[in-house]
Amino acid sequence: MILHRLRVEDFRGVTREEVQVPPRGVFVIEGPNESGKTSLMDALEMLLEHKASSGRAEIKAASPVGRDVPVVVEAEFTVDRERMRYRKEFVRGKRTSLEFPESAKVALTGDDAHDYVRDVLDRRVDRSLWRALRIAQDEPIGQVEAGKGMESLRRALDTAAGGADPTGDDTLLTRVAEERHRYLTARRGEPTGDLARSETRLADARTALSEARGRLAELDAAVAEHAHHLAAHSSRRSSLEAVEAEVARLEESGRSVDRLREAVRAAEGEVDRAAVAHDAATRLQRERASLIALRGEAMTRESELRDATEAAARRLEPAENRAGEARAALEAAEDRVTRARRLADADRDARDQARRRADLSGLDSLLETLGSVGRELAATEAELAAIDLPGGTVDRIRAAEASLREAVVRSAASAPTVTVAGEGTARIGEETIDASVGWEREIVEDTVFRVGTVSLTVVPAGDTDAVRRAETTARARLEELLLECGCESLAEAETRERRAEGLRADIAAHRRRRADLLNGDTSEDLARRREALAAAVASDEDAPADSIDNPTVAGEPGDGGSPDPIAEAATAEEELSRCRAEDRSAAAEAQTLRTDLATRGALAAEAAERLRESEEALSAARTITSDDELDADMDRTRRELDARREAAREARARLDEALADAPPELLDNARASLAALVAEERESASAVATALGRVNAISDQGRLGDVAVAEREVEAAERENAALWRRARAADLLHRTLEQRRSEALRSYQEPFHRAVVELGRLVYGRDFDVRLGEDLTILSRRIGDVSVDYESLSGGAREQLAVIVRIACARLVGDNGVPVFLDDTMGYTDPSRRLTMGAVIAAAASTSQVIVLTCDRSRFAGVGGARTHVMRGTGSAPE
Amino acid sequence: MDRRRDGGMIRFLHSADWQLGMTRRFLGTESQAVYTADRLAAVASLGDLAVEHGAEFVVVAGDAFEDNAVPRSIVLRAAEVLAAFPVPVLILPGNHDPLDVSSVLRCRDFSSAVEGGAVTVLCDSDPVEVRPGIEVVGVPWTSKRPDPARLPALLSDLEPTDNLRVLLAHGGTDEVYGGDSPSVEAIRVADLEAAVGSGLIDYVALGDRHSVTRVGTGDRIWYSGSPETTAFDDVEKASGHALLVELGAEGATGGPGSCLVTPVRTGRWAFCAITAEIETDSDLDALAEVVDAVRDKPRTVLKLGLTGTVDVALRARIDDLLERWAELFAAAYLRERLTHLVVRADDSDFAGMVDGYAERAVRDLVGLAASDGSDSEDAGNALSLLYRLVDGGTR
Repeated sequence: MILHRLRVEDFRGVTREEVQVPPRGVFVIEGPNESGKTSLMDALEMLLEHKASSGRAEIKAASPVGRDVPVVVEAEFTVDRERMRYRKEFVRGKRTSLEFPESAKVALTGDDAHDYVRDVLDRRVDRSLWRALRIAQDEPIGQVEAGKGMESLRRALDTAAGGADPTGDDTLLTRVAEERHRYLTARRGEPTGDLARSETRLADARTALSEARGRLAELDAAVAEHAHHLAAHSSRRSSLEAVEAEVARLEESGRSVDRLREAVRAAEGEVDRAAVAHDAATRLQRERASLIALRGEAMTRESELRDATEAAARRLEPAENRAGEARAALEAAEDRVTRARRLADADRDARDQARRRADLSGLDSLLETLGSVGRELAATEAELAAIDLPGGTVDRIRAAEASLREAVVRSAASAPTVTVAGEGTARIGEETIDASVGWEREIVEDTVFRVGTVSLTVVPAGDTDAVRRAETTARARLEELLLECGCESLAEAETRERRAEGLRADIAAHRRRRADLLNGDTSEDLARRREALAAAVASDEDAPADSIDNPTVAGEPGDGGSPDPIAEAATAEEELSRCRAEDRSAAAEAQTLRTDLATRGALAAEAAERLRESEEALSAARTITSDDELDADMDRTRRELDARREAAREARARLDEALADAPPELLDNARASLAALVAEERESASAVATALGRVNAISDQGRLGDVAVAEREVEAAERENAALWRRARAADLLHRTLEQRRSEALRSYQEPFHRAVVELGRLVYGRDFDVRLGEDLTILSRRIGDVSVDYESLSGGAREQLAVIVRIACARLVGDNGVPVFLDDTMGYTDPSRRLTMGAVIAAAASTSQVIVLTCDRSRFAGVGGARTHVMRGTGSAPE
Repeated sequence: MDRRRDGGMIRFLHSADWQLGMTRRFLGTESQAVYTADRLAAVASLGDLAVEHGAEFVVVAGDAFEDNAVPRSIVLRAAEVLAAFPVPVLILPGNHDPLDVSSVLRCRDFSSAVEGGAVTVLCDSDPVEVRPGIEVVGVPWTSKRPDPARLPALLSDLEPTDNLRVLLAHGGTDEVYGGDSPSVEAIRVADLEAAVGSGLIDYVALGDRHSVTRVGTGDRIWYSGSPETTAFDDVEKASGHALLVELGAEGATGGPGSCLVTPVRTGRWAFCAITAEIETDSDLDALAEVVDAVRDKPRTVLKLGLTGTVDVALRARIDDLLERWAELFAAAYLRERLTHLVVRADDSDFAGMVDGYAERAVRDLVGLAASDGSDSEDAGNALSLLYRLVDGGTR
């Protein structure tokens, strides 16, 4: 795009301004502040972007204050070799016109004109490059992101990078990214928008379908359950009917059994009646036979009893005789016993007196012997008391004497014996002796012998004193013991002890004898016994002599020549006993025979009475019914009874047969089964009704329709989802592929872009200048020599210079296909020393590009060679 | 009156598999509503056809309803239509609407048709006298489980009769389905032919198969098919018909009378399964011509299986046409299983449309699309997308 002319009327503070721009080179529009330089750029922007009829605030704001006039903007420009004159009147009039001064094209007006220009600009002008290469006064100077969006620059870089084709279009990438973003999130690639909604819809649809099928399956299940219950109910029903039939059959059989049972009872009644008749006949016959038998028995018994009575009478007579004899013998024996007893008593008394006298004499003798023994015992005890020593005394004396002998021996052994012989005297201790007399002693203590001047001290052994004292003590002990027992010596003591032993033996012997004499009694017992005997003997001597009948007078007791009354009495007693036994036997026998006779007589009389009675009874019975008649009745009733019994047996047989066919247990069981089956049938009917109710409740709900709706929804959702995923995958793949190729392209653009920037930069900073570029072709750092500075750390002036350098580089790269470069009020931060070289940079674009510089200070761009200048007059300036 | 003896002709309509309440998943809500209404309209048309052709009654050989659990509106509307039928309708419960406890044929909402006498439901195998001289016997399904013993039992119990006797049965035959199957009744054709040959039965009206199909060697055993299309024409042939059956008097020698069976159109819908190989624009033109020739597009479903190698422009044309047809037809979609369109792209496809790195990206995608890799289809779609974006953005 090449701008040829721009005319502005009544735009903000600019009343009228028109500039003619050369198609190539640097064109400086100079004007003081507030002169409207920037308004020119804004007016051109407004002309190209907004309709004349637009009511946007920025358009209203462009209207001059206090003047009701249209805002007019007119521009002439060439796009793709088509020159256009484009005019709009804003705010007032709101007219648009488009003319083609170099062609025969029909001029356009209104929206047609606006749309035509917009279409041309959209398709043929790199709008992004237009915006990127413009430095606006009121906007911060930013970096040109040469890697993004600028088609013409990309094309130029692609060409510079050796590509045979024009560069790619980031607009396409943007559209692809937008297309992708319709389905997938930018960062994680997860479903979004329609695709996310489709995913949810599909999940919901599947859930709904599952639920609908589940509900429909409930109906199938309910139907199946009903069928199951119905089949079960039918089975129960069949069972019930079978059992009901069985019960009916059994009940009918039961009634037949009842009838047969009744028949049996009737038959048994007949049997009973026949049996009664037969029993009566039998009883009568038996009674008749009994009467006959009784009569026979009575006759026999009467005869037998009569014979027995006679025999008893015959047996009684001798017994009576023998009893009389036995009685007489008894009485004689009793007399003899009485006499013998008197004689025996007299003899016994005489013998007792003689025995008491003899006892008295013996007792006196014994008492005397006892007195003698007592006296001897007393004398012996007295003697013993006189000589007796305490126990162990002799042993102690014996031990004391032994100790004394041992002490003497020890004493003798311990004391030296000194014998003094010779002539002269010697002094021994205090004693002076004559040696010729001789002197010999045991030395028991330290003794000094002085013979002349010689002093000899004899010292006994060390323990001599103790030995001597022991001997003295032993001796004193012996003497003390002898003194205590009154003996002179040990021998005497031993003699006394032996005597005392003999006396103690005598005393023991005396005591044993006395004990033998007493024989367990005491002397007092013997004395009292003797007194009693003496009194009895005295009494016997005072008693009178016995009667004459006393047989003892015939002799003295113990006289062998006289008969023994006691033996005789015993003999008489034995005889008496024998007679008494004989008497009892004979009397008992006689009594027994008498009783037997009486009994038999009574029995015979009774038997005779019975015989008479039985004959009378038999006769009376035969008078009523003869024996033959009874026999005939008996036969008749027996036959009748047999017939009835046969009939009853047959009835029971029929009953048993019926019971076998239908025993009552079967009926009971069948009835019990029937009751259970009725209950079960009722339950199964209830289950069927319940299942039916459930089916009815469900079947009315048209659940198939729900399934169908859900199926269609799933189908639609699946189809939609598949289509969306196809699109999403396609967009994603396309986006990834484009991104990948774009990154590759950006990397290939680095070199030509870098070369273009460095070429211009070296005009300003010298040969050591270099820059490092990012992937999007922005400057990351600047290097001059060895000093590298990040872009963000550069000064405002340096960044301003780099901004201009990059834009000019872009303009040069794009060349004829480019757009005007607008530099509005730049170089303000640039050191004046660099303005000249920066002018060379700007001028470098002159051959291929249109550079429009707006400045209030022309001197900033004095270094731009070949630049043409338009001076604005300021606000309200009139056209040139 | 015995029509055999008086030499008259008996006419009746044989129909089956109405499957009222059937839905098709590929139909949108609007099209489904039309389809549902048309299925009932096809049933209603039987009444008109009966009058038109002098049919005395209509027999329905099973599956009058899609299921016992169809929506109540379906039942009420069906009862309304049937209650107004000019001739009696005899309906045999099929495997879709078995005569179980939930049977729709016995429900309250359908009772108006039954109690009014317009409809007779064959609840058992007892003969139903349509009028003197004509009886109908059937083997109703009482559950969804097949019971192969039912029909042989009925045939063995049948006694010879002077009446014209029509047998209704529902299920597959060993001839049609090629033998026993656990899911169908497996009707033995030989048994039917023997019954027909012995004069026990004059006509066998079968249901279950949705296509009009003659069974056996004679012309007295038929599937009437569904009165309205239910499946695509690569599976279901000649559906959307009923059979007008004309039974003539017995011959002079006592042999069987004539039997003339004529399909009559009842349905309006068409489910078209189309396969086409698209390599060039002319191929696509030919397909479009065929598709555009379809007359009743709102009642037609298209299922397209497209194969071939196409450039991105042709692929984009295909996509455009599909979008258009999807709006025009009741439903139109590509069959995933039978569609394999390889997008073949080269530089010329995008000549003047993309350049620079985008052009190189296009070459990448072209290569990927031509490969056998898993991304080939996505690459083709990506090229189509690029084509649309570029085309829409710059042209």
